[in-house]
Amino acid sequence: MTAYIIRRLLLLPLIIFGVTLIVFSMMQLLGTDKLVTAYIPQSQIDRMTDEQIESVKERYGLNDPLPLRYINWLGKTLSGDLGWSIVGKQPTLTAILQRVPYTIELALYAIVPIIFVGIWLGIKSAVNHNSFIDNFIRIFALVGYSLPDFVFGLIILMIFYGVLGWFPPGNLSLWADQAVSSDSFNTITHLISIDALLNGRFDIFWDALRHIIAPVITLAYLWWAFLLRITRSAMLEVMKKDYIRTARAKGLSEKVVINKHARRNALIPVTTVAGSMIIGLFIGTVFVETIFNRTGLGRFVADAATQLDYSSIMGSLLFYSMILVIGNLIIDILYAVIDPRIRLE
Amino acid sequence: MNKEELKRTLKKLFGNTGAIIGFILLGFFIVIAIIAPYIAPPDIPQDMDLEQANKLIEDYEPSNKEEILSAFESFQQFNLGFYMQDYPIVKEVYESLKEFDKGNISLEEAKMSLQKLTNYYIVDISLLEQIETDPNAVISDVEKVYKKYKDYNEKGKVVKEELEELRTLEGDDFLKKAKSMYNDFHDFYIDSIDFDPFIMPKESLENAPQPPSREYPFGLSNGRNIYYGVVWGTRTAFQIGFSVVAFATFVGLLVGSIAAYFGGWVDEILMRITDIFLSIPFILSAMVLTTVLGTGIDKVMIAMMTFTWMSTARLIRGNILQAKNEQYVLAARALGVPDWKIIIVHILPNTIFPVIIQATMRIGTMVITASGLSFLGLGAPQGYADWGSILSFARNWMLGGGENAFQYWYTIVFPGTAMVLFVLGWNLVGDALRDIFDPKNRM
Amino acid sequence: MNTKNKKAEPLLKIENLKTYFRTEDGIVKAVNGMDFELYPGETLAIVGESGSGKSVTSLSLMHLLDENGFIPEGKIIYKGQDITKLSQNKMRKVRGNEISMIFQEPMTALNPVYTIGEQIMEMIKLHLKMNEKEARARAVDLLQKVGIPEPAKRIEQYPHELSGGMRQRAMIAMALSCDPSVLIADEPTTALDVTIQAQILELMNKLQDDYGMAIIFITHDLGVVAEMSDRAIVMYGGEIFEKGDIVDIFKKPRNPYTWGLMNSIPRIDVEKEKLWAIPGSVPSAMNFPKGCKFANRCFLATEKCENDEPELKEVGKNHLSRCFYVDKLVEEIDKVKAGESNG
Repeated sequence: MTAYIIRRLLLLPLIIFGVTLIVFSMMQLLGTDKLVTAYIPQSQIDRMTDEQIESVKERYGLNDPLPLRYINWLGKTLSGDLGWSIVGKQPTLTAILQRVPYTIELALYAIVPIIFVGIWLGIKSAVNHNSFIDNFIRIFALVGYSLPDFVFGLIILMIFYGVLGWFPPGNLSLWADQAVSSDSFNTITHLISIDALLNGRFDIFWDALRHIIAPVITLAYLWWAFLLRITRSAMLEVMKKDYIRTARAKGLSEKVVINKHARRNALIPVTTVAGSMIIGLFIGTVFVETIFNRTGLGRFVADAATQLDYSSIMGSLLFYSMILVIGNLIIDILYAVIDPRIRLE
Repeated sequence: MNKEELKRTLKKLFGNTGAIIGFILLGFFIVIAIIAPYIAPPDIPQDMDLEQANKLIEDYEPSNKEEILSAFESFQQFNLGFYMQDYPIVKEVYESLKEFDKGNISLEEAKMSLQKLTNYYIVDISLLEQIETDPNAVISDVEKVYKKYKDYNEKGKVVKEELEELRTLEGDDFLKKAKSMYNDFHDFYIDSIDFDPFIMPKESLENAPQPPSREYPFGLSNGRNIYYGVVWGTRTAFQIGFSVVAFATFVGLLVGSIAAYFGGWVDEILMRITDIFLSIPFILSAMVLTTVLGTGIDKVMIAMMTFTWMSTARLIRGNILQAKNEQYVLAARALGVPDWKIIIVHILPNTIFPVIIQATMRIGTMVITASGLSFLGLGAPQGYADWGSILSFARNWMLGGGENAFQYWYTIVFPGTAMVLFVLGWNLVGDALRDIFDPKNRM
Repeated sequence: MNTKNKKAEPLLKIENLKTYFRTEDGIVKAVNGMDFELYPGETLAIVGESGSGKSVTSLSLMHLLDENGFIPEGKIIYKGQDITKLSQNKMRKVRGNEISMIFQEPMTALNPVYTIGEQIMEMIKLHLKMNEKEARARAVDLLQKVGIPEPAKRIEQYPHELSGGMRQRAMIAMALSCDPSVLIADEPTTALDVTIQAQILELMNKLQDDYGMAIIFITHDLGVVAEMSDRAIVMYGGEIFEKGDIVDIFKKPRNPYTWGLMNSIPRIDVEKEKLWAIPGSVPSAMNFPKGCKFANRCFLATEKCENDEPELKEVGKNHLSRCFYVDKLVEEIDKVKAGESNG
């Protein structure tokens, strides 16, 4: 196992290098004229003469040969200079980092129902194989699997905000927002709801909760449909195994057989998936954040794309890719730790 | 698969409710896509002269003959005549530019020649400047213009002859020829104005959504006919789904099988490249590439194609490697069966099915992704018949509508339902195929 | 092997047991009317080819049939009580405690994510209501009795850390942990090397001496049968074709099927031209032919065999056979024996 992990770690820089290469290549497709907008705001460009624009290009090395350009760009990127964000009106990296906590908060609230409901229903479904409950759950899951998140999000928005008026879009109500931005509010974790609790402000906490429920429902439904299928399938596989028959032959109650013997084994493949799922959750908030008008990295990318903010989208893409790569590595290591069979190989 | 297995497979397929529902859904969508132009006829603009001619042909009387002929001639004059008139000049300029390209005349002379076209607004005046910096681009532009004029000139001559002929005919012969000439002109006209049936017709200048009515069965959103969008959106969905998945599967198969077959260095390199591509989240990479490439459904497809081939590559490679080590392959090799035969007879059938299953399930995902991109305003141009595009209109009305948002339910429900049913169909079929070809994976 | 007093009450009495399975293609009749008894302390072998219904019989005894299996008819009387009528709850008290079972594949039969100690102690705690310490002591003791060296260390190990033979020993320890009266062993040595096989069989014999439980030994291997059993049942098509003491079955087989099985064993002591095998294959359990189930493969079969089913009839002391032509069989056997001694 150690050999496996070492290999993965050695490959890491190669993969990161490859990703930067791809992102860089996409940037170059734009042509130097458009790339200038990554460094200078468009309004300024409009007032510049052709020679001035050329000198800007020179300054940022946009006319250099490709390999040199790449090295320079890579150097800047690694040192944290991702350019200027038009959407955020600040350096791109700052813009990204500022919005990350919002997305994390959303993902965290979504993970809990997804994992618990998904696994619980998946096991229930498998154990009651082919019964009415099983079929009902499966259909529910299948619809969830086929429902694009932006469609479902719109429907949720329409029902819970448009019709019922319970859960408004956005991060916070105006008064809460002002309270949070004021000096008397201590921002510790950068997660609004948690900070609200830490500051003893239950009213802000409830407000934040009210705004986060609808997007969480949207995310949760789609992902637990996914998790449910995996769990169910893993559980069905395990229930067919010989050691389950042995457990029954020993006279153990069905409850013990399922909860102790079957579940532990079924959860092994589910855990890997759960890990990927958490990452996928974090990465897939684009539509939900956009529809519910929330701040976050996903929304940032969407806005950047429509506003042709090249620096922001490239920077975000790099950021997301890093999360994906490192996240997957961590999961693989954890998986090796959990399964005793692999642990000793 | 022998006959017995085939029978059993079909029985399983039809016994599976999910599969049947899936096939029905897909069948339904296929039919809609095919008959789209009939159930949601595009609003093709008509040429006045042709319209006149058509009316006269419908209510034909021998006395109409002259009027029909004059309508046709008017059409010819306006649509082809000008081209015929200017063709000589265009030809001259084009030839002189060719001479310039060969270096036989000077830049100044070339510019003077080009001016003849710019003066008549046949080409843009900026070309006069551009010829200094980028002569090749200018030459190719003029070449395109030349070709068009040449074609239309030819066409014009042919039409003139036909009109001559038409003039000589009487009665039924006249009618028949007139009709065929009308169809000819009609097609030509549509071609010439670059009509795109995929753009949803704007029925009203009001942006606020209009509820479903008899005239607009699904209502209007941002002035666009939702019904039209949903129907033609079916075609878009199939277009995108099939193209992207076909390409991704093809490339994936290529990469994966080459890696698996050669092994060693080749395998390492190809798999590392695959890993790198897999390290970039799909939605985001598609978003970025679409933004870079610009608007257009084809750009969306290219963006998606670039970033989805990897899972197929991995799948086929894994399957091949596994099959290579299966007992029956080892046995075949021990018996001296040649490599190519082993590949075709043993390895291919056992490895191709998961790929097919994966492909069917992916079609749904690709359509969702493309729609998502349209929803955000990337990819498809404004008002293109794509379900995601229609939904993008809904978004603002939902947020801004506040308590009244529900009154605009139709802006979401119709395109949304279409999308869900479409993807559901593919998922059901994919699930059913998976159940059949690998019963160990019964879901 | 044990020779116990046959006049004692049978521990287990099976009467006309039938076990069917519902499948997509129809009803599979795996067991078609089995009658037999099991006496305390004896070893009864159930012999048959794959598909004869022998495993299903044992699973029926334990009520461990798959979802689609059911017992339409028959009684299984254990210590005077018909356990086919028991609720699942009550049945659980029987399983492991009174009737225990070990399976063919020790690797897959043990849960890979728990140590063997945990798996053994779980049973002890459940049935014997012992606490952690007592259970552990008993488990270590058991492991030692089954011949696993360093039991205290092994108890903390996972199944994949033990060899095949060890795992099977562990399974046996687990099965015997609660002192059951009956041990059902379903092909326990089939998946093991020949030398290990011998060890395990020896172990089982010894344990039977120590613990005194009755053993139902299910196998397709006649050699194993000879070593282990007191009595044997030969199964075919879900029915008993011959039943009797082990010596009788081997020295005086009274059923063409049994005879066929014997002849299929390669022997060093007798010269034979070819390896003999019973022609044809086991009939499908969904579609049994009319008449005797073995008719289409039997060298003595006549038209009568194809139309009527023979009943189990006594052919000797405690020796029954299902065949119309036992006499003819005896003739043939004598002929062959004469031929062999003439060399």
